[in-house]
Amino acid sequence: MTVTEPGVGTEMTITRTFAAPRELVFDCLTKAEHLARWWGPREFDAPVCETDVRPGGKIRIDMRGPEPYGTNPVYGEFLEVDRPNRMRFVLRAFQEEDGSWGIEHEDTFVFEDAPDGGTLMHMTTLVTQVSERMIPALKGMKEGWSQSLDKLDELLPELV
Amino acid sequence: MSPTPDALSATFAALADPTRRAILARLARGETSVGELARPFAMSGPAVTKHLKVLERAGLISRGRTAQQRPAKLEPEALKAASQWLDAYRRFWEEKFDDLDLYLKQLQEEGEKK
Repeated sequence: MTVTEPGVGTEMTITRTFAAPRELVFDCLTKAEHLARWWGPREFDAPVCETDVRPGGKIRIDMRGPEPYGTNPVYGEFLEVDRPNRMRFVLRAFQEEDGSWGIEHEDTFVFEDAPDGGTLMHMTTLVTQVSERMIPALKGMKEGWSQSLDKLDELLPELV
Repeated sequence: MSPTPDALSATFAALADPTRRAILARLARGETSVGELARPFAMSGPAVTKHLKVLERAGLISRGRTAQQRPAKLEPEALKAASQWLDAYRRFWEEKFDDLDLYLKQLQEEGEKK
């Protein structure tokens, strides 16, 4: 990344292909019963996971981890819901004592049929607020997330 | 210059506006006056000055002290901090989507078995 290009550091775009139909990928990103299953690192669970999937509908997720993580409430709202083409939500988390948010970001997801089957997803994040405090938090979360693959492996036998 | 506790927040808040991002894009080509900046935006001088104040408070630009025009200049350090943060954030999401990938496979396998 160069710093002379001001487009850098303002928005982040991720493009991924998933081996699943668009409707299912869309549902995994919006429906509470799916979100609760993959949206969390090992040792974490989501005792609260509620989504009202329509424009203006609220999102509430509590990510509960072992100490020292505790419970992190995530609040959000759907801005656009066009299944299975496009979706946009805003998420806020890590509220500071003064009421401001440690992080607030707006995410736009665009889903297309991938040329070789499956779903091509473009995600664009516009970060509107982030405190310095989030830097170590992000590092901690990253370690946690890398463990969640194992967590899924353990889940498999229960589900089959 | 290391950012103060909410410097990063000020940076991202300033960057969240498309006009301000366009101003930064112009300033990346070199320092310039308010009048020069206002031209492509069909915007008044005072409106541009307002945006410049937000960018200056966020440490993204500096303004000349001597010349009457007070030309604006890009300050890459603040942008670099934001860029590094986003880089870590991107890795975080990439890993999250690895999990989604696995979950989707699992869901579809379940579906086939039913």
